[in-house]
Amino acid sequence: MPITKKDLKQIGPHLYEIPKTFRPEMRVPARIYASEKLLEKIFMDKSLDQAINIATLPGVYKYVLVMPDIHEGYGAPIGGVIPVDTKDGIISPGAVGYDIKCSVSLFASELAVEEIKDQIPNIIETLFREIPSGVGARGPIKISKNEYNKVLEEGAVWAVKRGFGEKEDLKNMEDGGKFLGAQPDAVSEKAKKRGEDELGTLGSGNHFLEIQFVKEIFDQEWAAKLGLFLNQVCIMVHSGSRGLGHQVCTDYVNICRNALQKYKIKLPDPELACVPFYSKEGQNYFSAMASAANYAYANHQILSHFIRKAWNSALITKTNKRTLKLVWHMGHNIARLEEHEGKKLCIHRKGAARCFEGKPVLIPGSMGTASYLLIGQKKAEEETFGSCAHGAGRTMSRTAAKKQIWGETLKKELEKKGIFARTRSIAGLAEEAPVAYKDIEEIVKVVDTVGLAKKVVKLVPIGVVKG
Amino acid sequence: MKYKILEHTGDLKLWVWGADLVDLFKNAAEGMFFAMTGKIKKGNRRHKIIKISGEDEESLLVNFLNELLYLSDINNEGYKVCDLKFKNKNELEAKLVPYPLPLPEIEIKSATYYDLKIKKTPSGWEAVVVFDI
Repeated sequence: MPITKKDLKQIGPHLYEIPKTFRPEMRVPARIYASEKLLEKIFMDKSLDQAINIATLPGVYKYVLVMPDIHEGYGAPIGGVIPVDTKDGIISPGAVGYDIKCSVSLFASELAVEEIKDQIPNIIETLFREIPSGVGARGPIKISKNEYNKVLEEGAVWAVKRGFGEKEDLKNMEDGGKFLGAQPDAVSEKAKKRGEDELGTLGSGNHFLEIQFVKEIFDQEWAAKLGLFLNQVCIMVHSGSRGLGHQVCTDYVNICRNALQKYKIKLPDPELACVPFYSKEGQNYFSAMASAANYAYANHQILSHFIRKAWNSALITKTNKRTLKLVWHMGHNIARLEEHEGKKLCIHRKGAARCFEGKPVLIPGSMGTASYLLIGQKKAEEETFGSCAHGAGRTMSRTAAKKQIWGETLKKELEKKGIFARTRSIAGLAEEAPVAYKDIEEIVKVVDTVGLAKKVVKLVPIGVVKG
Repeated sequence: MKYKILEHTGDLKLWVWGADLVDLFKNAAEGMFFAMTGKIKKGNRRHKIIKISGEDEESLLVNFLNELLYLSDINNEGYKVCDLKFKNKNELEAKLVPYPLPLPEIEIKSATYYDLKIKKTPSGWEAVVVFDI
């Protein structure tokens, strides 16, 4: 039976629930954070059917959540949060996704936009030239097999030891840049092979690098604490664990699918293939996923090194204001062991950000639109197992976007708005057009109004390198 | 027509047809590389043989496509499947002729099991495969 608006019960401002009675297999209700306007978009694809599916997973605790940027994915919806009691629950690679620990970094410069506005095209050109991007891009560094294992064990900590980035960066990364529980032996040779020359690459699709500036400040105290000021030039980067992460997920979806009978698990969608958290397969997946997360940390850290290098070489300034300070780095495709309500839970976040009281949350908009830095609130820990939205969320397929928008036209339109864009695939630019995404303002409004996180600054782009 | 790209909000959905299962698998591979690069190429390098196993038809198809993605990623090649044989219901062998991969427009991370159905129809076989991109 397809779900309709009538099946949703409003239980709070911008908060709806699909009761667990909606389908007999549901073990818990599904909660949806959305405005009226966003709900219209959400009903345009199978997002909510996927939300119902994740509510049937063994051991799922209290309720599953979907964030306002939800859209249809495969298995779990993008924007889905699945809390699972580790005592009797599962872990599902498909509910984490193929781009394990896909993450966002925000760097702050010491310069105001007026000081370097004319230099943006040149800086973007330099970044485009120096940072490998697009499909099949190969990275700038080579490492030995022994060092490769260190990458998977130590993440950004390894990268800093090797001279990529600064020790100070680690303080402003989730997990201090190192995801605990990694075991390189749990990662297949195929996955390692895919990742061996991709460290320090941006990737493609919705991965990007943007030069932005602080357009608006909502919370002066937090902005100052984070070193942000009005009109300040910043750089935002979106990348993940590249081919290694994709292969880890591919491998373990198969392992879990083949183990379903053994563990007597029945699923509405085989892409949600899962195994008990404390089974051998479950623990191996967690170790492999943690290794992929560390690959993503190292990748971002190497990227940050080459971004700083390119920035420094392209920037013309008589002052010594050349630093790029990492403000915050966080991921949005990962399963984590966390304690909530006195229980040890495995929180799967697929296209959802972690949001804890007093910790920054980055919500990038679609290309050419605003992005936000918010600060996590206690309410998120109380209501959403410390989770919130991670981006704008697609509303239009890539094929539809390409039919509607020409990449060249979009590039010119962005330039008219003062945004200089460079890409290796002009068709790919069209796929990421703002019209293909939900309105970031509406997403952030829901998160802020509900009180999961509060707005600190709004950033707008002036230059884009699209992967 | 051998395949068609269908609408999917976030990912790539490919509808594939074939006169028989062999044809279906070959067309799925061609459709995947076409979606990736916007081009159909004939192979021009020395062929490779791959062996794939799976629990059922669905996993054979997903494993086959994912093996092609893996090889494509590490070798920077596309593949024309010139021969394919089912050894039994759990194993297949395919002969691939590689070609240099044209600049891909999209990166396919993996073929998924989501909504995957391989069906016999009055005129042959069909499948819908969703890829993470």
